[in-house]
Amino acid sequence: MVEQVKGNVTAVLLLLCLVPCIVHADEVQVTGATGGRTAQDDSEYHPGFLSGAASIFPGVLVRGSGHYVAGDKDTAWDLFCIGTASLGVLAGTALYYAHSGASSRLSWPMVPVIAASGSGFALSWLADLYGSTVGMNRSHAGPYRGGGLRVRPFLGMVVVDDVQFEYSRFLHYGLEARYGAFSVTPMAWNALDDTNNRYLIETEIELVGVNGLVKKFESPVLSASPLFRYGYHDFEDDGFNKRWIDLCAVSTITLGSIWNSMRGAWIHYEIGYNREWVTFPVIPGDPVLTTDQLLFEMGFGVDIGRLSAPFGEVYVYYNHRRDDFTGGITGGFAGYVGVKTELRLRDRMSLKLGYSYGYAAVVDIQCAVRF
Amino acid sequence: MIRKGMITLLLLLASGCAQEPTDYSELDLSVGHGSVAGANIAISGGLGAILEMRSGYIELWLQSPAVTVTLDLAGSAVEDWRIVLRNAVTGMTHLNPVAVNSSTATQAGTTYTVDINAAAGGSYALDFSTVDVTATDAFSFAVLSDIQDAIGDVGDIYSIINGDASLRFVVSAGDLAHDGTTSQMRRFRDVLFQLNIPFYGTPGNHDTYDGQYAYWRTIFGRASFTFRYKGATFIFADSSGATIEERVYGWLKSWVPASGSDVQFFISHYPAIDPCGARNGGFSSRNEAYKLIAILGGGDVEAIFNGHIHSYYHFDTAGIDTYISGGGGGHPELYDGVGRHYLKVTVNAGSGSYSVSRVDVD
Repeated sequence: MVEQVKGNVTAVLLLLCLVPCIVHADEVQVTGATGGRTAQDDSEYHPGFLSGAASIFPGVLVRGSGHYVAGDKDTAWDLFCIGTASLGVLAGTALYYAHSGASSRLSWPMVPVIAASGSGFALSWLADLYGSTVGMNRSHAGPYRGGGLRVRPFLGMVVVDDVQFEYSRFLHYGLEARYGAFSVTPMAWNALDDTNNRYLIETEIELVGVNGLVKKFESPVLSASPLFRYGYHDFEDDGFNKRWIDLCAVSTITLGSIWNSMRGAWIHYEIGYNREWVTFPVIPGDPVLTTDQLLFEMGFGVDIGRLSAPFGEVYVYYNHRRDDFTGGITGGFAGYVGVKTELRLRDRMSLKLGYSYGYAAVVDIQCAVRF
Repeated sequence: MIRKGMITLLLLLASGCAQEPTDYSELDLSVGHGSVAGANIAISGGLGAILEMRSGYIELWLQSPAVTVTLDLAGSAVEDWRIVLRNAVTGMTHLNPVAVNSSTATQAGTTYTVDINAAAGGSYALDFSTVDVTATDAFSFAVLSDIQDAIGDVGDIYSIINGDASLRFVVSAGDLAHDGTTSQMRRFRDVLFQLNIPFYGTPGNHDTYDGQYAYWRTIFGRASFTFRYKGATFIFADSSGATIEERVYGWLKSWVPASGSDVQFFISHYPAIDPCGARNGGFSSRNEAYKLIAILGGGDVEAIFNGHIHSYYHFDTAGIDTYISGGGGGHPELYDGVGRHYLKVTVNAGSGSYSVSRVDVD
């Protein structure tokens, strides 16, 4: 086990030494990106404490309250419509689904609708809170355009607090490689205090966006990509191992390109399907159990610092899956919540911190170097 | 400055508290033990709740068709005792009356009463069960779960069960009441006296909504337990929180292999994995679910009985026959053509076989 970890780490370190020689970093920020809709008159827009308080209450129920108090009635109306429509769809589908006794016949069409409408309701609140407190005070930065090959190896530690398993500390490392619209990220988790090992490779092709493969739909507002994951996780001491695939559609919407008050903010969605094959060597005949689940993640992110030169970002999210280290918050339906942060310490080096809370609590600390 | 502040904030966040593990299983450890006026009582395996204990009188709620009650009497203890066993299997008898002067025993429904005279200063192991407890011929039991807010209507199911003389007892995967309040649980137990055979269950999430973890132990006994009867092993595990506590996994690892060549049944509220992946009505952590399946499959458990989902499903879980049956009367799953029901399981431990059939009530 220790030898395996040493070998993997050595490979990563070698890769770290090699990549500066082979990579030509070419990433530029899109300039002159289309700005979002402004308030009727910027001088009338005054985000601050009062509007922030209004975004909390009555904003927690009535979306757009913060923007309304701040003076941006157009954005307030947009948020009100999004929030109210989301709440309406959420209430209608959730109530009917509950009435059906969570019918398995309705689950696949209805649970994604419940999740999407619930996220619309939640994200419109975060957008109101953000835009009515700091949003308008920021300059607008467009999304990044990646040109040549960009490689970003990372190395870190994952701490897992899960009463069900012996492991608690993992060495976590991988390599994110991006070339134009294509990206591939192999990564690994090796337990330092158990025999547990997890490997994952993630591939994404950006179809729509500033790096989009389909130039016809190049957009600074929206990026959309299919995403594929293949993973293997060995719970040797617990008598099983599993392989899985994820087929997803991911999308990021740059809110600042739609509403000026939300410059520096974005939302991220992921929806897809997971299939898992679990093998039990401890059961005679090595039976394989096949399971599946809905994949869904929604989150809200903001840049930190001046947007002309942000030094990091924060992203809060909800993830519906229950098969990774974190697991679901409760029995039945719910996944977990988390926050991810990236801080650019130097020109090419950044520190990533993540915390997720569900059945288990997981802390992820990584150092990444961009080449 | 802002950067330093953000880093500090994030490190504080990273060191934030994890989910506090629950430890309700600790309550199981004290079930079935009591003392009064120089007399100590212990029910083997904690397989019963002590409803009342005073000098010369013991009233128990049994969780098994076969129990051993150990009575330790100090020199000062009284010698005449009345032992009342509630939730007793039909045909229960005192299997080793020689040790004590056992007078006439009576049984009315599921209440078995025996008077004994035991010399003070002695220790007495009293075995109660049916005379055929070790025989391996066929017998049947019912599986009934998720009654919830239909406590007032469950009498018709009990009537059907009472009419089937082949059934020895009912096992349940929980959700007996809707909110698990003491009044609801008491009402459930009052209605249970309409049933002519004993009812052994483990709690569901509805039974613990009100936080009455201790109350379950007071009126029914342990939430996780195991017993053997006629060559079959029954293992109940408390999964009312969509998880099984670490301590209970320790028990499971000893209970599952201990049964050897028995036909083994596992009863627990939440299915480890919901066969409908979008609904995700199983354990909070799928990795934990797989860990449980590895323990059960590795120990050669034949069948799993779950509730929680108010329908009927029968599927294979890594070679283990799995049934979800939540037909006790809780709000039903629609569009599945399944109404209120219970399962009838017939076991023949001699041949190592069993069969399961669904009995529809509506």
